[in-house]
Amino acid sequence: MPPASVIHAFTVLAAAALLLLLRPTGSTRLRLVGAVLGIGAFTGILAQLPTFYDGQVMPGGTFFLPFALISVISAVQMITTSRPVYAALHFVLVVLASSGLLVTLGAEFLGFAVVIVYAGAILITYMFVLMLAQQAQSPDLEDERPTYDRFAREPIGGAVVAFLLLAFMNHLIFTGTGELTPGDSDPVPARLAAWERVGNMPGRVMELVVQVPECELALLPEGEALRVVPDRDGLAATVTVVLDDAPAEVRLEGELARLAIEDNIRGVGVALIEAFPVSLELAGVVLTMAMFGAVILARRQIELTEDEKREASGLPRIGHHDDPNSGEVTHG
Amino acid sequence: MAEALVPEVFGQLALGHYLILSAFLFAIGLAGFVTRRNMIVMFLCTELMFQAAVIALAAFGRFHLDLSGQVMVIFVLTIAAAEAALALGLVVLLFKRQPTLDAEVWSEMRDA
Repeated sequence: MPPASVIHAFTVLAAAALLLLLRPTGSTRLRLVGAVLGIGAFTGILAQLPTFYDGQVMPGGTFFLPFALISVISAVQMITTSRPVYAALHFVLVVLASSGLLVTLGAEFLGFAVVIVYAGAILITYMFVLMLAQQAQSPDLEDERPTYDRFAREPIGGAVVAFLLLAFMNHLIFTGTGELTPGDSDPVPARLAAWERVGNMPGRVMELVVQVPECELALLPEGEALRVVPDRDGLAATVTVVLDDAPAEVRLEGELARLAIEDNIRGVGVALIEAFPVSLELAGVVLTMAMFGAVILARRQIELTEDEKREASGLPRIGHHDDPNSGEVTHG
Repeated sequence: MAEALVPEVFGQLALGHYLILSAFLFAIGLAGFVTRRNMIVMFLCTELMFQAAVIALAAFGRFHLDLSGQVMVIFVLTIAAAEAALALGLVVLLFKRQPTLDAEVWSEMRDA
């Protein structure tokens, strides 16, 4: 654990770097100084960290630093560029880099989901609105871009607030994470749990069983549950199936066993359904309400008079004496 | 070969590395939200903060060897999508009233 003053010094350095980059009239040289300062502060803080807790090493290794630098540099570019479209494109870079980090963390499904949802759907919508709103301006010349894009609002206040928060978070990370207990790194219980999960998915098990040589015609046992009995170390399992009208035991081992238990998508799906069913329903409700909200917000507002509303619902009009339309004959 | 090029401290990672990265992204997103005046870029900065939360959740999930962290990320994605739909609808609505993306145009509302 390095002294707290070192970490806070690096945080202040990072804040100064961001301030240099946010300057409205920043020259190229000042921006360069800011970039070097910022990257130095970021890697400096990373270098102070212990490299493992309780013997638990996180995956990533040499991939971490490039991805981390890409995402932080693009994030800073995103908030300092004066072109909103470039900001959106830099955000795509952040998403791509962090999806690389997700893959190294063993979350392959999320890595792809983040790219599809963020870079594919959300960012396209942002770009669409951005271009719709900007068609009147010519963004080629620096001076013709709108001032609200060229000048930061209260850069000092913003940087101070954000980096006070960062200082608190850094302090917590340096003092707190060492006290967390990492997950049980013994792989055997995890593998046995994965086999149990797979045992509840007979279709998936049969997909794998028919890939075993001479078991291409294996069938599910009729009227009873499929029995999957894993070995003691969880590296292979015995499945009881029907082969040539007789019960037979098939071994799933090697590559097929690996396919059966190391399945991130199925694992996440089962965890989602088993542990958070109500949250899943609520997420659906939130999405539906967001859709209604967006439709209501963005629809064209048509002002209807009381008479028009009554006519639309099939009621006769009410005549008002001070209303100029009241002299008209009602059609209803 | 690749290991030799990277300093020893970055050859091995702990949970803190991912959390520090997440904290930096969150702070940059917050700074951007406060300093930018373009409404759409402000909402992009909130997406950046969501992204920081995603990295932290996935790292915690890996640290505890628990898939719940990844499940939480799915919910974060849901909320981000809902937020983007509503925020952009709001921006379109405001843009129809005053054809500019400058957030300060609407600062007169603060005393109303």
